[in-house]
Amino acid sequence: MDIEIQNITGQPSDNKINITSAECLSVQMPYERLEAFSAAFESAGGHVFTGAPIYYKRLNLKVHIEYLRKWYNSPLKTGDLIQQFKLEDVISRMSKLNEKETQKLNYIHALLSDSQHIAFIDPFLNTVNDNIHLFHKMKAQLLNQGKSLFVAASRLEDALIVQPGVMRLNGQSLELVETADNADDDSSLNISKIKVKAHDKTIFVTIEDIEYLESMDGKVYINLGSQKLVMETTLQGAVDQLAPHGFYRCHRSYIVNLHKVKEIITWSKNTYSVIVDNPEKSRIPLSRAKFNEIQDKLLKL
Amino acid sequence: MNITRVMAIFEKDLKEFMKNMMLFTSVMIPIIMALFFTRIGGGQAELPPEMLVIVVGVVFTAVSFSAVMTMIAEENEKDTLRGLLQSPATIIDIILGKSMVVGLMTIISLVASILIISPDNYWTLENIISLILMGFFFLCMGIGIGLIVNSVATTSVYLIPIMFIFGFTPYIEMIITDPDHIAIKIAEYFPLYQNLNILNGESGAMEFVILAAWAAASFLLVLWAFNKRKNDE
Repeated sequence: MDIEIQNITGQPSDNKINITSAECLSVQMPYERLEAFSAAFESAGGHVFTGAPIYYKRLNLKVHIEYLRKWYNSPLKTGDLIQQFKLEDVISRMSKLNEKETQKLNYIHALLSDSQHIAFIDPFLNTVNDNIHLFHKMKAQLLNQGKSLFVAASRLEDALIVQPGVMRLNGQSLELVETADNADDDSSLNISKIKVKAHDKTIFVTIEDIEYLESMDGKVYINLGSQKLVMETTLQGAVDQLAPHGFYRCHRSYIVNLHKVKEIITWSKNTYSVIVDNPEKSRIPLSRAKFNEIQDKLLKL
Repeated sequence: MNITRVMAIFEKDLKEFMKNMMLFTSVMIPIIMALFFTRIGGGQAELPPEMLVIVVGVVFTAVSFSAVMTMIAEENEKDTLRGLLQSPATIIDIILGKSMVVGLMTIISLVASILIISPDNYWTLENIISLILMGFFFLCMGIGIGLIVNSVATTSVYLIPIMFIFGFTPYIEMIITDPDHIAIKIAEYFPLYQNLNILNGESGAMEFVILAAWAAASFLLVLWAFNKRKNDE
């Protein structure tokens, strides 16, 4: 199945997104293109799952699964699905369940769907870690069934939850986000603040307040819990400056403050996230090659 | 058409019908009305055919018409169809499945209320044919309007006028007493009057032709609404 990129971006381009069976694509694209993407994916014959599921609020989860199973004439068994996806309450009405439970119905629906190509739009925006594990379970099963999975995420860190190889949609084409690992330098500077520009102001940020830094579209963003600021440097420059303060480049596009790391989660054999100790519990991607090194660093901190 | 899909929709909607108080109480309305009517006059006098026809009108408007319209409108409103509708053929499966649920509920409601009234010589072949034709007419009208409206709230705009015009047609004689008035002449071509004539045993072929015409017109409404919806998407 092919999707013309110009249908999504509205800019002239001959390039296509090629979707092959039994393969998974994880793509970061700007938020405002997601809608055009789902329309294009749907008209090409794929099945798109967006955000929170809209189902029949008076019926319970079991009736839903039975219904979808019959509708798509799927060989999967209702009881197995209930167990696999750890559905706790299959008797109460949908309107009484929390979003965490109803989200699982989307994963089950994707498995039951008779469409060869499945797309999820921003599946990790409002989710819990348990459901991300289930999402990976669903991914493995979908690929096993010979279906394709396309994950479109507006945030790079979400796209990287799916798999380490991530593409980015720019104006004309899909390009691979490089995830090669770079060597770190060691230069110790004894400073406690760094200079950051926001519009016309220059802000001095206390280094230990920084949660993580990310590089996007050639700019480096500093995340300070509640706010995001642009820093006029490269990510490598930031690493040089911040490494002595306990910062670590856990991914080509991310630097994390090791003092703020709460835990590391393994989603699958080669996808990992670092969880930051903030109210949002931000998930920062972690390269496979850095998985052992970051643990050493955290232990020696 | 895919029989397994029709059956999947039928089972799902039957369960939803039972849990939706708004739909479920509509099945009870004609039955309660029948209970009230039989108490009139100490329960001895035979109920006049006009009253029987009103009960039938309520069954068809409150159950057949209203329920199918609400069910389709609810799917529209919540966009639950979008994920399932990958081909235009599936909308026919959905409509068929829902019509089966509503058809079953109509039969339950109609038979129960008529049994409560228990009139003589009601289940004649002519009357059953006229009831089937009327059921088809009201069901199609509900499907057609259900496909056009976007929300459950909008359905009530259609429900009340259609209930009064098609469900309570014989009541027009209480408002307009002049039997030669143009409104009465028009009302005599409405479906319920045909049913009344058939019940009174005054029917010829004309009544059935008129009922068939109403049924055909409502089927055209469904086709039109179906195309309109397809073009909108």
